[in-house]
Amino acid sequence: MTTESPSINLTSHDDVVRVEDLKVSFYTQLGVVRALNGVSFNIPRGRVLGIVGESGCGKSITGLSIMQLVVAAGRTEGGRILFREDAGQEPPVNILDYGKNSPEMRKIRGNNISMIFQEPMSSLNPCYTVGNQIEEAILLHQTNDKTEAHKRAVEVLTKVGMPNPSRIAASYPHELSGGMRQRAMIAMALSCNPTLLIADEPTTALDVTTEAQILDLMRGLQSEIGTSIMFITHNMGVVAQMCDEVAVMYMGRVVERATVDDIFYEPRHPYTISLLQSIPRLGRTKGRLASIEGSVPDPYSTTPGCSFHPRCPVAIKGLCDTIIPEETIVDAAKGHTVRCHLNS
Amino acid sequence: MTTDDMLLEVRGLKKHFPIRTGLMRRVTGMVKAVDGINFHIRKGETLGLVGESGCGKSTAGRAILRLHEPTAGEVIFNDPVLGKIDVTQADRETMMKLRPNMQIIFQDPFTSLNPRLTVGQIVGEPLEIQHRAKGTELSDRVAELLKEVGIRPENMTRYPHAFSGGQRQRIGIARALALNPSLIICDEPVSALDVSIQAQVLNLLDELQEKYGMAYLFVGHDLSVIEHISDRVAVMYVGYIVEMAKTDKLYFSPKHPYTEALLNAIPKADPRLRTRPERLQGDVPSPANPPSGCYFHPRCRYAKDICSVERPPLTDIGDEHFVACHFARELSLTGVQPLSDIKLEMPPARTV
Amino acid sequence: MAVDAAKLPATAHPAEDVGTIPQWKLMVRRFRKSKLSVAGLIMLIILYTLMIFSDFLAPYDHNRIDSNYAWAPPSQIGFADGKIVTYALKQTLDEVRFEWIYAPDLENPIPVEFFVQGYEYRFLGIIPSKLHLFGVPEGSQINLIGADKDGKDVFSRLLKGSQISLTLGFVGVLISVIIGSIVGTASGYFGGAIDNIIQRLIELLRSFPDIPLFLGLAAALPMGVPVQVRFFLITIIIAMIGWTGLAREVRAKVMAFRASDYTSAAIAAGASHWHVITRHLIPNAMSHIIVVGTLAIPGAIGSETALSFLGLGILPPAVSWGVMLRDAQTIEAIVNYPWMLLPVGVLIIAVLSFYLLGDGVRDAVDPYA
Repeated sequence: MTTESPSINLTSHDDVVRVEDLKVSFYTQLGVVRALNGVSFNIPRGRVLGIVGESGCGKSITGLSIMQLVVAAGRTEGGRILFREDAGQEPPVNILDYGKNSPEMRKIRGNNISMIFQEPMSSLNPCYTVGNQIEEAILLHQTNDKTEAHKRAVEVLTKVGMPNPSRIAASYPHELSGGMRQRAMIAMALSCNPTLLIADEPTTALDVTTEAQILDLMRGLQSEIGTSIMFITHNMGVVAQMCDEVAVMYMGRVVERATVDDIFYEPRHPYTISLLQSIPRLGRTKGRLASIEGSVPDPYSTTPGCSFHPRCPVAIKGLCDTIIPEETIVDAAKGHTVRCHLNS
Repeated sequence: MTTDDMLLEVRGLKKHFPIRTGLMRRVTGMVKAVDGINFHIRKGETLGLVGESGCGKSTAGRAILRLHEPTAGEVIFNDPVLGKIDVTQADRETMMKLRPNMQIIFQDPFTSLNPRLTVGQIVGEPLEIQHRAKGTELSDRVAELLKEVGIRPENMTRYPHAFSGGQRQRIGIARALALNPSLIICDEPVSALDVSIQAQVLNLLDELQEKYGMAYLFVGHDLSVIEHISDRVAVMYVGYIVEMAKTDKLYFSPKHPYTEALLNAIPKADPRLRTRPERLQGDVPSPANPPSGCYFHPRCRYAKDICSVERPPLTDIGDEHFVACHFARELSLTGVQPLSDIKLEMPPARTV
Repeated sequence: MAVDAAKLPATAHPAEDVGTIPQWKLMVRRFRKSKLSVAGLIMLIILYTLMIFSDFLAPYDHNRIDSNYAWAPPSQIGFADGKIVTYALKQTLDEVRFEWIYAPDLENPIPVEFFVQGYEYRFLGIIPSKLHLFGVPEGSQINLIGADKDGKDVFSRLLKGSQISLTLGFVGVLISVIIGSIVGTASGYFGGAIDNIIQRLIELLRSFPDIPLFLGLAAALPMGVPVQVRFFLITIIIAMIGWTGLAREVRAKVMAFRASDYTSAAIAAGASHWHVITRHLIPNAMSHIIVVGTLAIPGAIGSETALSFLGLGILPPAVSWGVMLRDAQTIEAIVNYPWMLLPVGVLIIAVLSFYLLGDGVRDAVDPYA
C-alpha cells in the first residue's frame, strides 16, 4: 500500500469529488477574509486524500464547503464541487448547484458524504444515547424499521472496535472517554455507508496512544469497506501514516499535490520542503530546526504574487512577488503538481 | 558527581485535589494528580516531562512553583544566593526572594497575556514586582528583553491582540526571562502553535539556554518535541514517573513497557515506516480511581501477577536510568528506529 | 537570534495600528456598530439632560394647586400674529354626568412667552434661579400634557419626578455595584472559608422573597423624615437587595481570572494579593461589572416605581413617576384622563433604553459570548 501507488490520470473519471477553482470569502466587521482563493484538487475513489496545512490555510473551510456547512458569513464566490456517487456516473452533480438546505443537499449530507470533527463532544448530543443518535441517522436515510436500525447501529459500533457494543449503544456521550467518543463519531459517520468521509483533524484532540488506535481503525475500515476519505490535518506524521495522496494548502490555495511518497521524498514547493524540515523527528540527533521565518500573514491582508513569497527563502524578486504562479505538472503519471515559479 | 551543580531536587512530591460532593462540601475522594514523584534537574540542563493528558505533568510543574500548593514532598531549590532551600516550606519573604529564579512559560498564548496591558507592561511587570527597575531604566530593559526574543521594541505600546500566537509566545518568554531565572518551567510552550512557528520557538528556547545557561523543565506531550529539546526525559503515567533517563537511552532503549507503547504510537513522518506495531489497548485510568499495584498493569502486555499487587518503585538500573517496573532488567523492549535519511533540499535560488 | 527583529513583519494596517488601541477603545468601536444600543444611549442622554434642566423646563412648581384646572386636558397650541399661543379653557358643567367639561376658547389666544421668571429653584441644587423656558401670564395656565385632580401641571410633575426616578435607581445600583464588587472579589479571590461564608450569606439573603422584603423594609422607614433622607434610605434598600446577584457574577469572573495564566505569571514573579487584584482581576472584571450594573438599573428604577406606587417609597409632596402612577390607578383616570398614564410611557422608554444600552455594552465587551 505504501510505495506502489497506482498512477492517477489527472482527468480521471473516477474521482469521488473534484473541486475546481473554489473561492470562498468571509465578510466580517473587520474586513473581507479571502479564505479560499481558487482551490482545486480531486479525491480518487477508494483512496485517502490528506489536506495538510497550518491554521488559517483554509483546509477546514474546504471540507465544510463540500458539505455546504460554511457559516452564513462565508460566501462561495466561484468554482465547482463535482460529486460522483458511483464510478463513471455522468454527468457528475455540482454540489454548489444545490441550496444549503435543499432536500438534495440533505440527502447527500450524512448519507453520501459524512463528516467527523476534531471535538466529538460538540457533534454528539449529550441528551441522547450513542445508539439513539446512530439509529437516527440510519432511520433518516436507510430504513424505517426501528429494530433493523438498532441492529445496524450495534453492528457499526462493533465494526469500529467498541469492546461492548450493545452497552456502548446504551451509554450517553459523557460516559465515554475521548477515544471512545471519536469511535462513536466514526460509527455514526459510517452508519449509512457514505461514499466519502471527510475527517477534520479527527485525532488532534486525542492522546498519542489513543490517536494511534483511531488511525489504525480508520486505515483498517478504509481498506475493508473502501470508503474514500478526505483527511484534514496539520500533522505530517499523521499524513505519512494515513494518506495515499496529499494536497498541501497555504493561504487558501493548494500549493502542491502529489502521492504521499512524493510529498515526503520528492517535495517541490518551498513551503512543503520548509514544513518537512521544521518538524522535529523522532530518532534524529539534536540541532537547530529549520524554521520558516515570520508567520502566516494577517487574514485580512492580501499578498500580491505567490502568497508564500514573503517567507520563502528562494523567492525570485520581481517574479514571485508580482505574479501568482500557475499550477504546473511535475509528473503527470503520478499526478504531481506544484504552484511555484521555480518549477515552471 | 558533585551535588553543587544540582539545581532542583524533587522528592516524593504529591499534589492531591479533593473531590467534594454534597451540600456540606465533604471530601469524598482524592484526585491524585501527582502521586509521589522524584526527579532532579542540574544547572543548565533540560529535563523533558512527558505523558498523556491528565497524567499530572503540568500539575507537577506548577506545584514546584507553588502555584498549586503541594500536598506533600520536598522541592529543594539551589538558589544562587540563599543556597539550598525547600520551596514547599519557605515563608512569604523567602518565597519572594526565590521566585525570580524560577519562572514559567505557558501553553496557551491567547490566555497567558493580560489583554488589558500593553506588551511593555506585561514584560516589565516582573521587574516592577521585584522592584528591579523603574521609569526609563525599566523601558530600556523591556526593550532589550523584547529584542532578545525577536520582537521589535517599538511594539511595546501595542496590546497582545495585535500579535500572532507565535509572537505572543515570544512575549511570554520575554516575561519569564525578565528576572534572569536559573530555572524556567516550560508548560507545553509549543503545543498550541503551528508547526513552522513551533520550530521558531524551540530554536529560540535553545539559543536562550545557550546564552544564559538556565535550566528548563519542559513539560509536553509531543515525544518528538521532547526528544528534540531535552537532555534527559521523564515519562509520567497517572501521577507517577515510570521511567527517567538520558534522552537517547530512553528513546532508543526504553525499559518501561509504557514508554515503549508511547514511542510506538507516534505517527512517524515517513510513509516508509508504515508499520502496525502492537498498539496499547484501553484508556488511561482516572487518577481519582487508579488500578491496584502498578497503575499500568491492566494495559501492559508483559504484566505478571505481582504487577497487580505491588507498585514498583522508581529504581536506578545504572547510568541514571530510572525505571518503575518489576521486570525492568528482564524485558527487552523496542525503541525508536533511527530515521531513514530523507534528503530535503530547497531548489536553488534564481533570479528573473 | 531566531528571527532578526528588523525582519519581522510590520504592522498589518499601516494606516491605523490596531495594535496600539486599548481594549476599551475597541469596545467602544464594537458598541457603535449596534444601532439599537446607540439609540438607547442617545435616548438616555436626552432623558438625563431633561432631568438636569427639569426646573428650567417646567413652567410650574410640581405642587402648585389650582382647582380651576382640575383634570384640565392638554392645552391646545396654535399660532396667532406670528406668535406661539395657547388658549384659555372654557368650563361647562355636564349636568348629566356632573362633570366639568373643558374646551379651548379659540377666540381668546394667550401668547406663550419664553425665558420668563417663575417659581424659584436651585439649578443643580446650587445656583438659585427663577428663569424658566416658557410660561403664560398670570391668570391663565398652560398644561402641555394636562393637569391632575388638583390642577397640578402633569408636564412639570413628570420633569420633577424624573429627578427621583432616574437617579434613585442609578445610585442604588451604583452602591450595590460597589458592595457587590468588593464582596465578590474577596469571595472569588480568597476562596475557602471566606468564600463559603459569603456564599451562604448571599443565599440566605436571596432566599427572602423580594417583594415582602421590600415592603417590610420600606414600611419600617420613618415617616416624618425629609425627602432627601427618605430618598437615601430607599436607595439603600434597593442596593441591599441588588448587590447579591452582582457579587455572585463578579465572584465567578474573578475566579476565572485568578486561575488564568497571566495571574499565575504574576504570582510566580512574587506579586502580592493587592497587585494581582488591582492589576489583573479588577481591570478585567470591570467591563463585566459595568454590563451587569447597566442591566440592573432598569430593575432598580422599576423597584422604586413599584414602592412609590404602593405608597411605601417616595411620598407626596415629593414626586416620582411611581407617585404619579399612584394618582392614575383609578379606572376613572385611565378612561377619562389618559394623560395621567404618560409616566408609564416615559418609564418604559427609560427602562428599555437601559436594556438596549446594557445589551450593546455586553456585546461590545464580550463579542464571543
